[in-house]
Amino acid sequence: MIEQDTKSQALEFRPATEDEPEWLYTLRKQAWERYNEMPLPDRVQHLWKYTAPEQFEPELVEEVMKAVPVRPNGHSRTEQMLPEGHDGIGVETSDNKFGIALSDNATEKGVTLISLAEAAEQKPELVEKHLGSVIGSDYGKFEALNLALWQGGLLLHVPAHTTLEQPIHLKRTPGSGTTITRLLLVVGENAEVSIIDEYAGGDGDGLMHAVVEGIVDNSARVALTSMFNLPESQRLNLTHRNRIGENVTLTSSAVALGGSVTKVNWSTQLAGRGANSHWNGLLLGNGKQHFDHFTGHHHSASETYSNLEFKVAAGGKAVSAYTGRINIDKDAFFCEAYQENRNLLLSDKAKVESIPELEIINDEVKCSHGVTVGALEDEQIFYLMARGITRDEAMRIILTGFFEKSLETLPQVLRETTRNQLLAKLEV
Amino acid sequence: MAGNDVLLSIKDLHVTVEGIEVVKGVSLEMKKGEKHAIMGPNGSGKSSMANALSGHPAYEITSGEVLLDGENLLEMDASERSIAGLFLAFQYPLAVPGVTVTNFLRSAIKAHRGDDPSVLRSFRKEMKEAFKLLEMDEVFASRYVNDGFSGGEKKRFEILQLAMLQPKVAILDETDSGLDIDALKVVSKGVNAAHTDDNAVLLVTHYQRILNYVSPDHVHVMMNGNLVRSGGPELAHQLEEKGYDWIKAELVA
Repeated sequence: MIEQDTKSQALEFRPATEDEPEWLYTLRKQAWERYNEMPLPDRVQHLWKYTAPEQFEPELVEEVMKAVPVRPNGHSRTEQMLPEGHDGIGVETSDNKFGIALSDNATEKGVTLISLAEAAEQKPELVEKHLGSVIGSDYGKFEALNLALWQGGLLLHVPAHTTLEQPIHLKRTPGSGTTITRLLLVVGENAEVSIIDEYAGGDGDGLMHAVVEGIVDNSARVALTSMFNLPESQRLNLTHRNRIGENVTLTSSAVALGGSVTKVNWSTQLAGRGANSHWNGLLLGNGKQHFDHFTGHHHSASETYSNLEFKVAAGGKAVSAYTGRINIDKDAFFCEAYQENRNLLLSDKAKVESIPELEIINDEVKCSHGVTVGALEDEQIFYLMARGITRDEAMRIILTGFFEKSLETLPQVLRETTRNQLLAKLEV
Repeated sequence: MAGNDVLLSIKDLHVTVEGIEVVKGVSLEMKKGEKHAIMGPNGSGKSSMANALSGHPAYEITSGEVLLDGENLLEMDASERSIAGLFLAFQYPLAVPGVTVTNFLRSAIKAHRGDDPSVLRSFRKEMKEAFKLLEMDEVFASRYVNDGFSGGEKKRFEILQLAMLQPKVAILDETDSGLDIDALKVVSKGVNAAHTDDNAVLLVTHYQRILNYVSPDHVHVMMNGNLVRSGGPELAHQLEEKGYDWIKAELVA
């Protein structure tokens, strides 16, 4: 590792193009320096206790640098059909092809969905203000890498007082090498939007580093669905953080099904009085899949509310490690924070870990957390079998029931397909 | 009666649970159209027998023979026993959160009759009728199975399943326990409606109360893992009057 670090330090960090804006080059260069300075994450720290960080080091940083960062003239647009029932779609592949389509409705309302490179030129006021403001280069080594060397990436901006009734689907597909992508999500005051943030497809045993920065202004209503559907040869390291303002309602869902190693660090800062955040996740692992989820609700303002429910089922030799943190600051009064994690072990060789972490420096709070770990109950299986249902079918029915409440939190357009994906995975 | 009228034939049944023998050589025969009651004090082994017959994994049948309409029941797992025509109304029905009553019933019906479109077409209608029979509100169709049901609602739902699945032999494991008189009447009405000349019902109960509404042809008394006395309906009344101690005393003497 030391050898590699020296090597990457030796690489000269040049502007991406001759006309790269000064502010952007400076921001990226500083991040690059931070990446090189910082050691790999300490495994004693909870965040990396269950997952070796080495496997997220890009094998050839030179290669990554060559490909990165692509300016607008370096990537191409492909034709993209807008699927029915959507107000927008943004598809990004590892070879820097973007397929983006917005509904007329979204375009008329001034919604922006463009590549981050285009955005740096066309919307510098937004990008300069927000890029790296929630997840900066001090956040961690890989976050610094991301800020320095993002290749693709998207900006989604929903202006104030804009309501979109149908979801905007963003899909990132990795290749066989290292892909570094970033989503900057800016939602204006009193706007309403539903976003599907999907990581799927691709072949080869690639590595994807992704960052999602969400800045949500006062009184906005945002539904954010994260879908992890990568093939079982791909590794994903995602850091997703939202900062939400006064009276915002953020409803997040996560569906973790694919990937070989999936490391997700999700957090939300409830920064404005009266902000609400609900998170509902489901995870189904099998084979040798490895999942490591961290969630954090950080209450920095008074009268904020968070609620989190995570359902995990692990079969085969799958591993799921989950750390759920709640922080309530000293001057954040009358907050409520709830967290529940239920785990089902579907085989003797599957493993789950669940670690609640509560840091509450205020007495005026309502807070609870709960963890359960268990196998499917024989009694329950017997009940279904006594009605003529085979053992396998009984287990499938009980498991889909286990996930049902989480499925119901998904946008309508995803519910049936996700239910079918679950069922297909349970067939294995 | 001819031999082929025998629906359930149990010979010298022995059952252990966690290594302890709880059923110690029960023999019983039920014919088409019959209603039998097995009565006994707590811990006599009657519920263990019901569970073992249905294929509960915690109850091991160590010896004996059980034929259901001529088929060897002991070679089948619980789901195969159900398909073969055995039904157990559970003493403690289990909740299946996230699974609606409709989906649960549809899966059971599909398992029994296949998924031919005609089966699924008649399913809704049959379910509606079953709800009416058990005097259950149709909102239950979209509720999760036994999740948050009251004791009485759970028992009604058991009998609703009995009515829909139309088994050859239904075993009712203390279906009457915990029911108020109105619920008991509704449940009994359901059992009587499901009972025909071609099937048989085995009531397992501690009390004589349900026998006022579902009148059995044969009453057996179970104690300490065995049937110690068999008779007609009058035996149930004697038990109601004198309690189980009376038989215990006779057995000792």
